[in-house]
Amino acid sequence: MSKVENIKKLSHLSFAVKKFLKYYPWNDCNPSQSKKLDKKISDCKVAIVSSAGLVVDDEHEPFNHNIKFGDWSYRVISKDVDSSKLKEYHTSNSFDHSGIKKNPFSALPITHLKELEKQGYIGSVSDRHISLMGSNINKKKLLKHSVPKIIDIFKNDNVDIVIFVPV
Amino acid sequence: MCHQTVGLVQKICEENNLICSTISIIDEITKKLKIKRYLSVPYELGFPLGKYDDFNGQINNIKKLLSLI
Repeated sequence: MSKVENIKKLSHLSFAVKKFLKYYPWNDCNPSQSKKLDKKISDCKVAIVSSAGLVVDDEHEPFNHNIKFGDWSYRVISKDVDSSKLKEYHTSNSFDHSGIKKNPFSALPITHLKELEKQGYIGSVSDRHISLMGSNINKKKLLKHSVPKIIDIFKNDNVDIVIFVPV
Repeated sequence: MCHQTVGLVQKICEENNLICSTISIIDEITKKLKIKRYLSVPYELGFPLGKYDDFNGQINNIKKLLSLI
């Protein structure tokens, strides 16, 4: 089994990147309103949003690394996707991509949710999950063009819970 | 930037009655973003749920993530 050693959070990043992160105007992501869960987790349908930049080979266009400030688009990933079809297109050179390349489900844990469904821990796994490309400061375009469609997908699929996996 | 990208989506999901829970690799950023609900993990960037081949460990982390709800 592999080991994740030498935990690197920010210390390994270049001075320029650390300075950028320190002074970057981070958004306030605290929701203005939110609902309390009104049923058991074992009755809930669960979906995933991952920022690993995963696409389904032969089905999706890769994320575009040439878009200024980052690609704000998204890809819909079926719960029945074969892991061998998932390709990673995250543009960042600030982290080790080897784990995600070897096991894309380590950043888009569909198989894990299926196991939890089998165990009765959750009610069901959503048919559709969302892949984003995390190196993105095109916030306005993300919010205007992608997020409303992502919400529609989850609503149409009667999703109760969304888990988020930044990489 | 990954934390902010998913944070923005999480915020709008919550405001649309979807219950959300997020992995946090870099708490320093997660706190600045004021993420409503997150699980702090002791892993490095690129390994959000732990070792890439530790299926059971990753399952446990997802259970923890869901238990925050």
